[in-house]
Amino acid sequence: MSEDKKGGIKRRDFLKIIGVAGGTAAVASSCSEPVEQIIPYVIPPEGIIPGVPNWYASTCRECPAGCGILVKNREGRAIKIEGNSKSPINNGASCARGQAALQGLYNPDRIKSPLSKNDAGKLQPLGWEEAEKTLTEKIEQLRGNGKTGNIVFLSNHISGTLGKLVGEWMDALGGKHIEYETFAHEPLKEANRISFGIDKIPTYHIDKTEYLLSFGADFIETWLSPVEYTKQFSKMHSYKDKTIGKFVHVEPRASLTASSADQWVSIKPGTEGILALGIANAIVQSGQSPSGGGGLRGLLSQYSSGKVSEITGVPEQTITQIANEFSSMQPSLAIGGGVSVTSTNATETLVAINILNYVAGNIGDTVDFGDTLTISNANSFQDITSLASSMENGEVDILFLYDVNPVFTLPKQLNFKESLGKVPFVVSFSSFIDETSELANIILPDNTPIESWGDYSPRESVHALIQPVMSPVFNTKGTGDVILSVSGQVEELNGRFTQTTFYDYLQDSWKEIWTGASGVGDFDAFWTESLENGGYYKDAASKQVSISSGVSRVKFSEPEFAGDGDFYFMAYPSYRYYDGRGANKPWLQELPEALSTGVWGSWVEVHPDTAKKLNVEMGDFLSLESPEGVIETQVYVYQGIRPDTLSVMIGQGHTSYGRYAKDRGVNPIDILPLSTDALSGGFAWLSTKVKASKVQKHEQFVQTQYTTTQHDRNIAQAVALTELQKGLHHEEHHEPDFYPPREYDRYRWGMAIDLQKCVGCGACVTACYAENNIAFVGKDMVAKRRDMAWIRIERYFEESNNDAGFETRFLPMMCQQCGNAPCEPVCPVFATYHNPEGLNGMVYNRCVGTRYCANNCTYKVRKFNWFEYKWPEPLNWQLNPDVTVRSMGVMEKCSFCVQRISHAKDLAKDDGRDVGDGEFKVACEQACPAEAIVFGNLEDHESKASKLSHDDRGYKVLAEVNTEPGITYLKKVTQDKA
Amino acid sequence: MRKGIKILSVPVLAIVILLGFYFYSAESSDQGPVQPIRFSHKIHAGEDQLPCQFCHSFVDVSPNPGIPSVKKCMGCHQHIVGRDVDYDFDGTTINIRNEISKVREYWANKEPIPWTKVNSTPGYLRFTHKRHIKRGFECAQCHGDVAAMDQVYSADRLNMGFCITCHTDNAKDHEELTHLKDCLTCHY
Repeated sequence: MSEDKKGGIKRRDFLKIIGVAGGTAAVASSCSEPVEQIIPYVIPPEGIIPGVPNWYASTCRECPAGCGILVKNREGRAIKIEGNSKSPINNGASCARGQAALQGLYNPDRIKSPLSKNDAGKLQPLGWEEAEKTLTEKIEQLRGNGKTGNIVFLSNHISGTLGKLVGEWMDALGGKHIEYETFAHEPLKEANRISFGIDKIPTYHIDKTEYLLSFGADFIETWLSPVEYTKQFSKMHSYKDKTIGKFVHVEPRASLTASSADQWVSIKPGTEGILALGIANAIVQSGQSPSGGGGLRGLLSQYSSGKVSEITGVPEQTITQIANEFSSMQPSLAIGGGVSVTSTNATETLVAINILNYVAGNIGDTVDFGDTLTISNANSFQDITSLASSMENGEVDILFLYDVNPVFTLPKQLNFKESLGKVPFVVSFSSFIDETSELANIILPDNTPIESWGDYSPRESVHALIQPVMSPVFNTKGTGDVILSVSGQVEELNGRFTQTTFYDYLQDSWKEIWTGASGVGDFDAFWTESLENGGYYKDAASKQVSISSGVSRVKFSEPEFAGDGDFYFMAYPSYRYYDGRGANKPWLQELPEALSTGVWGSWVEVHPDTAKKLNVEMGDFLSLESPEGVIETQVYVYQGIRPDTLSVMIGQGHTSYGRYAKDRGVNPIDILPLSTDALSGGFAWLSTKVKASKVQKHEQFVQTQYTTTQHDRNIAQAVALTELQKGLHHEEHHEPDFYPPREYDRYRWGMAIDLQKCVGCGACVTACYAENNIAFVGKDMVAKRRDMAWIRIERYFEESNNDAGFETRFLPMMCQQCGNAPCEPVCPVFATYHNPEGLNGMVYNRCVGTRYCANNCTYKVRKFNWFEYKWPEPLNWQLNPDVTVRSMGVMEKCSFCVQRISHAKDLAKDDGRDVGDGEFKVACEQACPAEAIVFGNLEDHESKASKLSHDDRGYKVLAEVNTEPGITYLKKVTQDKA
Repeated sequence: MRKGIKILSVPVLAIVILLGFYFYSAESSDQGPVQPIRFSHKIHAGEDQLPCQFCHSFVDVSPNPGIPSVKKCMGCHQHIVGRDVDYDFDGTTINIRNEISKVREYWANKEPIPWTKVNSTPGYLRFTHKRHIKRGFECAQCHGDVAAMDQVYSADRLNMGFCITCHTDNAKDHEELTHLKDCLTCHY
């Protein structure tokens, strides 16, 4: 009837035509495959075989820790970063930030060539020759005017040869080199100067302790050397020989580090020092101090448990309990640091912690001043403050900025941004347009560490080398080379440097290290060996220190807080973004924050009672007002924070810094006052109170795990230490099964994950993204539960009878490679199946996207490609050529890094043998700083994974559904309340 | 109107099917792509009897066989400028010296030669030459008698049936057969 009325065609006919036309198009298009080209080398580079990766040792510069890394290069592109097992710092492990360094290298928002500000104030590209000429002219002009000393080079902590070159260059120009670190740990230095006469930051031997007491030191997140200390912590805290070490963490907020503690002590902000003295006093009073308290008895006697309890809010019995344990579980160690103890009395707090260590006899044992950190040499906050005022007064004519973003990381009251405007010529070497570099007159983009020569010395015993793993992605140039080149052009500096390239300068500098190194061959051999090892590592002699009488002159005061708000305000460094530099890397944005599982944003942690009082719920917005300003951010209700404290992580809230960082969340530094620690002059991070009020705004709190409890499903299990010591009645009984058991020939790949070791840091998650070409999808998609992670860290807050009332459990969850996989029988096209080596195979080219498998998966580990996800150029350069890039409509999941299995088998076949235990590691296992994940062949009964699978603590998640997983979890061990 | 469409759709469908079949089978026809240089494998591998690995030198150590660098070409063609004669290159007449001079031109400009890929595998396949060569297979088993081809073309369609047939025929024992027929051997 419609035919007559409208004269058109009927629906059925329309469909037929479309069908035929579509079919024709499909047939026609399928036969004309795009023409692919193969481009040969003109001159083949030595040692490169296309298709075979090369690994180069280098050093990570994502934070001052200076971990050794190995970078995998395929066909001239860096595609994966792993820890270098030869580095004495990280011993092969890495963290999420280290893994994500590749997304800095390939970031689509990197500056692609030198830029210069034109008259209209816009940055415009120019050539290197012209850029260097501009700089040379400016320097000569300044020197012509006789204005020496008005040049300042502001960099981060660059302890190696580049620092030396910058120093020499500034000397030659009559300028100044200032090293600015956002977290410079100044109070720690000053406290050690007062306590021991050494103004250095020592190294700690957490692995040698039986009892670790941390006052705010977030050593699993950002403190000093997170990968190293996580590794050490895992050693002391893992269950072996029927015992484990104990870890107690004192902080107003249950941070990620606190979540791994056996006991979290919630303390009134800024009173940690008083608690340390109280504990020391209790030790001395009970006669448990080997030194009897020395000359400190009098001082300590003022800190009776009762009084300390009143000030700190920590129950008296907890103080006595910690005192008893601290002196009896030897060797013990107290550490302090992190923003939570960095109040206006930070140095005093840390002196108090030193006293505690001294009283318990720990100094020299677990605190090592023989090998101190070079970050001790960074400039003081006082130097930064005076720089800002000299800039303000027009006393700086040229300011160089290297790898720092002070406009973002300094408190607003310092007016660094405005002061920058008073400097006539600002030169930035930044790789990105960020809050600081966008104000520069000229930007001479540096190579990233992955593209350049260099070195870095994180501590006295370590000289780590940085070598270029690939040629620069963009038209960038190493800053060392720029300095040497410009020096050659400035008339008066001509001949000051004999080297024309930074590589030569670096080698000359290393000749001094070589001279100092005894018993090594000629320089070339030393150089090559150092390059292969990632650096030159010395043995550090330990150094005996004794406590100085100066400590008794310290007045232990309570902290001062600006503002009259109701809440203490804590801005803490994020383990994902550090001081904000990680925010432009999508892997880090999409890595769920361990405690909230929140992604791509900022939030304020609010205690449930406080939330009730403020009448806010998860996802509501709060306005936080300090005397310095206001920020508005989303509420995350978290029982792991004191009711009188609110906290927001540092790192988000960029107003610049590329598409992934810009306009995302808030920067809590914006509302911090310009307070300093009284004794060291360092910036006091915890120094303001805020008023909080509800804002009429609500948004979904985007996270990856919306539940905090296990709903009685017993997924992340724990066992009490006492029970474990008695011996678990471990029975491996098998229910009668309808199906015959699976049989495997040579290999059954499996895994054991020790929940006692897992700290929830997410290094495995990011490593998995990097290895397996997993797409990042953005906040909107995560909000719709479409994140693509193959491995996730599940976190549960379990009710507990401890002081906090809860304990945190982490459980890395990925495809369990079930022997009886529920996903397999429901696939209509056999795209997923059980392979003869125990892998649950996922064949992308067979998958038609019914998603039945994901529906039927017990563990919810299958991810569906709802869209064709793109990696903006050149982020796609990072993609692993050994792994298929999945397209829209295809299911994917953890493959147990089958490409690595395949590679290992290939190498084993060359020698005509089987793959041996520990011959290769899967990506998550390789990255894990806690060594919680062990992968291996379960058919080899001598393999580590196989042995762990039969451990007393071993269990399978949801074993009752009889999926027979290939992954065994080892129960977390809880320590009974003393 | 409706009837017209019905009548029309029969020949259209037939044409589509025929076209489809033509394109499907055409893929394995003996016409390789036209390359930037009329490089004759017949001369190099046939007449001169260069072993394949002389140029494709990574074939036994890497998944990729490797193609010679321009420098490698020049290793010989520095000295061999070629005869100034016409040559019947698959029906096209070329001058050998002329073609060789193109190589020298690329070398002089330090430019790579943009060869067109003849055999390609889909993105979801992980094929390794190394394992097949180590197992003792001849290149010709998959690539055909390259020594007799001027322009190299796909001798076989190199589809999954081709792979599986060979895998089934060559498995030593049951364990190897299981492995060689396992999807994850090639697809991940």
